[in-house]
Amino acid sequence: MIFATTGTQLPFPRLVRALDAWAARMPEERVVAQIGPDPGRYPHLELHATLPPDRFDALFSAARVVVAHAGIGSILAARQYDRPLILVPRRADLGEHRNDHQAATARRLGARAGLHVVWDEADLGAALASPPPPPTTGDGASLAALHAHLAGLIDGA
Amino acid sequence: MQLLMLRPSFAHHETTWLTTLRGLTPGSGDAPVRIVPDCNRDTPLRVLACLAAVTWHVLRCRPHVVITTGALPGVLALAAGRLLGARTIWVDSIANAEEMSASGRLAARFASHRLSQWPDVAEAEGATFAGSILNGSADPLQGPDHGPVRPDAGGLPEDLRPVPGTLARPNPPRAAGEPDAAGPQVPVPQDALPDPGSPR
Repeated sequence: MIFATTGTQLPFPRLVRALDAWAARMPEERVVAQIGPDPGRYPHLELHATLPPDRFDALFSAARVVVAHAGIGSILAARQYDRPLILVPRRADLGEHRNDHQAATARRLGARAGLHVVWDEADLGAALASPPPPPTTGDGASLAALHAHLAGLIDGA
Repeated sequence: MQLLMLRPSFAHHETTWLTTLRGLTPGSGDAPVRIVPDCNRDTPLRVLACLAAVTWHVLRCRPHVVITTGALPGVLALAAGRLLGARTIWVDSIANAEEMSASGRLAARFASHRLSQWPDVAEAEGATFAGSILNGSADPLQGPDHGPVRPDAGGLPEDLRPVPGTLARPNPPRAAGEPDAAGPQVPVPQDALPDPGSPR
């Protein structure tokens, strides 16, 4: 099973269309997608506008690979559930987001273990055929440092 | 969601959560959660509604500290907190990997402390870098095109270093099952009261 999510706030038809076209060629693979406010017709996908958190988590953790817009929430969930993640950044010039911060996220984080960035949706099929291995868990040092710093600010006189 | 991951830094204080999303509670423990209207720059009427709601909640709980990861509702909470003399902390989303968000820039007016989770973004914005929620986001081994800075409190200015002996962190750093994991940035203004016993 493949799980795809484009978040809940903005439609991302370029990605969902590409997924639907791929699913049409691969009828044996189930593809579930949370696509937000997108009125489009995608007959080869199991569609949800939004999913409650428990359903979302269950689908995310059961998928053999997850496809998502390059939102931080997707990256954090992929680490939490040890799932390989294919990222497709939204593009501001196509009206897919207000700015290009998803491209920045993908450039900065896309080389990490467990992630694969697809810049051109035509490459999605190849990425789904050979997804990255699951992510590796870090040592938590960076988060611990941030906690310590913030605790200092909060507790300080 | 990112703010939930920062919870261990204030878990030992009385806390009220403000969020635009229902269903936040799984990671926020027993602390009260208040829902406020979401807004952004393109929805001026909702900005006013959000400002009214946020100001109301901040006035009611009179926090000593307001901490937020954005977005615009978080800025409004910092503004309300500042008005009351609270310490106000902006932690820019890790999504803003190359430049600070517009909300983060606006927050400069109201934040007594402003952090980015990327060293070079922090430097360009006059903000502070002190680590990030993703291990190794600033690690050259994992981010080949990225800078060399390792989070190191010793490299911070004297007045921003963690205060020794006050880092009570009784709770585990991360609760499983956080809500809406793939959703866009969750705006969660957050109030922490350093001393639950003292009136304010």
